[in-house]
Amino acid sequence: MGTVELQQLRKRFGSGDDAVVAVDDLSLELEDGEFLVLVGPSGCGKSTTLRMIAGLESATDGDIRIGRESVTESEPRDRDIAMVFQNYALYPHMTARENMAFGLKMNSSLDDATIDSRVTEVAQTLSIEPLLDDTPSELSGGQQQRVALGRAIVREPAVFLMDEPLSNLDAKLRSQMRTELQALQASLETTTIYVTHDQTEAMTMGDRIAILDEGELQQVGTPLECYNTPANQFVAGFIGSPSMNFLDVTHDDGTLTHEAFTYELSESTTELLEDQTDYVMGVRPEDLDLAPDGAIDADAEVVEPLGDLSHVHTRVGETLVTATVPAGTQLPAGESLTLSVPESRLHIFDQLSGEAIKNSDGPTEEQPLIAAE
Amino acid sequence: MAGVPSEFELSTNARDFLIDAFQKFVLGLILTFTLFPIFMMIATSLKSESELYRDGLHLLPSALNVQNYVDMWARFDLVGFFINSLIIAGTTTVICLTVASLAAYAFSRYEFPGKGLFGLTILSTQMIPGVLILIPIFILFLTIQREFGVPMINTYHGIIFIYSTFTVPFAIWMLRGYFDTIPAALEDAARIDGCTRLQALYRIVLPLAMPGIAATGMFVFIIAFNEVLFASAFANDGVTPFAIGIQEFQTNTGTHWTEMMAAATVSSVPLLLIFALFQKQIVSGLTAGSMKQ
Repeated sequence: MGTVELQQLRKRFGSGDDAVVAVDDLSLELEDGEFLVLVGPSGCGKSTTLRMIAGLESATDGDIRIGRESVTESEPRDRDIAMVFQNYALYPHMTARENMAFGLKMNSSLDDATIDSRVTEVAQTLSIEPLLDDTPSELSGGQQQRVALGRAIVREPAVFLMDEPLSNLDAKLRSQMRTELQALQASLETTTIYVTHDQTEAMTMGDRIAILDEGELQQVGTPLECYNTPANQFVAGFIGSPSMNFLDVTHDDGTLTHEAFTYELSESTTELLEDQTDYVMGVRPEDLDLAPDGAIDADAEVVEPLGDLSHVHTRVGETLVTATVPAGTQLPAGESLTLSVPESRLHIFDQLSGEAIKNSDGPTEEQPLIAAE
Repeated sequence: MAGVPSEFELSTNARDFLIDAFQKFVLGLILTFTLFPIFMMIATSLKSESELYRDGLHLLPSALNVQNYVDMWARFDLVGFFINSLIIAGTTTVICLTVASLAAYAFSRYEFPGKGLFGLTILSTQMIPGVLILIPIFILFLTIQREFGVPMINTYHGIIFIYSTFTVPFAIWMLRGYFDTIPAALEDAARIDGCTRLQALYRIVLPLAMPGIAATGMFVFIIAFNEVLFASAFANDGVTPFAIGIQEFQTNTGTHWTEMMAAATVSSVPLLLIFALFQKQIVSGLTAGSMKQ
């Protein structure tokens, strides 16, 4: 069983005044065969979390369970895991075949013939069979990546841990490997924890994503949940490209006031806003429309044509606001325009805590949202 | 170089030529200083005694006289001296590499209290001239013999102990720099693949550190093989190494220079062999291609 449970996991580096808390009170649960993506900006604690699960870093507090058994104090080799590293970490003095066989030789009682046939079988799956007798220095980046992947797969572990395995590949190869990895994980049905800072990988690869910031779990849910119903302003800004637009507004009796516009809210939304006046209005670029009678006055700055659509960067008061518009939209710099956004697509966040008060009504699939505690 | 005046090109070429010529001159000078004694050693070993003392400067022997290479073996137990040297230098190298590679690995991979101070202390031992500790070591050895009944002077283990204390600090610093270049992720991968820390060290790190270990081992061997000061004080009577034994060509009746030079020439053969054997490992960049940079 490849279930993984993290219970109030904590990692502190250093002591006294120099102590840095890299991971703080992290609780997560993975079903057998699930693909979870740990995502967040640099230094958010995602790699430290992965290294704690692998046993390469000790946990300061908390418990790690793999297959219902606590492995918090176990050595990496006793955890039934395999890991793919960002830099591949292939043993340079061994051939691809020896690299892939090394784990089985060290960790199993299989005879050489069985090991060899398993290596060959996995190599065939990954189309690297002709490269098995080459050393890492003779392989290209993409080939090294496949050997590193093969080294993990051949072990048939309960859990795969992947630490930004695609970040050193060029854009085309990365997108190709992304699809291959997903297909591979789906066919192997091995529980996988995948660390990345790339929100495109997070959105496209995982069954669920867990978003971390400054060592704390911000939200865990399906990609669509996190996209459409972000738990807070950080998640809203981190997931989605281009990022969600944020506009500081004040609220007074059903009206949101920004330095450049006012926005009337419906009664049901107004009821959600209480006790305070300062909020942040969040709008996804694709929810903004160029409309002659829009509520938001803006000045066009730059148009970025992407072929299938274009991004228009505009200025609303002092705030830079991006809107996604149909391809071919022409807007000279400095031209005044108005933008509209339906209330159903509006996000509203508490300006102080960043907590989401209202999210858009987009699809989130039939799964409950588990917010960070 | 379109558009650039030809005078400029000429002056650039001339300057390049002058720099090149100067570099070669300096290199030639250094090579002369380094190689001339070796040339003289070999040339003298091929001369007869009478030719050596002839008036005037004669760099090359008038005839190749290999008799010195035959006679030198009969005069003293050169083979014995040689074996002593190999035992002393070889054992020192093994002890030094074992201790230093573990210490250097710890310095490279672990953080521990007092790491900086400990590192500096090790380095500072290299700043004390050997002659200053000659007498303290003599007293120490006498004390050990008196208190524990373990003879130290004129024993293999005594001189090996002294050489190890000199070479271990130097070897730690040299190997530490080498271990630093081996990515820690390789050990992480090995530990996940089923190795203990120690297995990761000897299955992954040490094979990759072989060029560094070989280079360090070679330096240690040469230091121990060539050392004279401590050997003259602590390694006589049965454990005399070649560097001391060769002095026996200086007798009351005179110095047998030609045979001494023949012996010196023969003694440099093992060192040349070691260079030849380990050259490949020293220069090879074994870690290339292991990690995507």
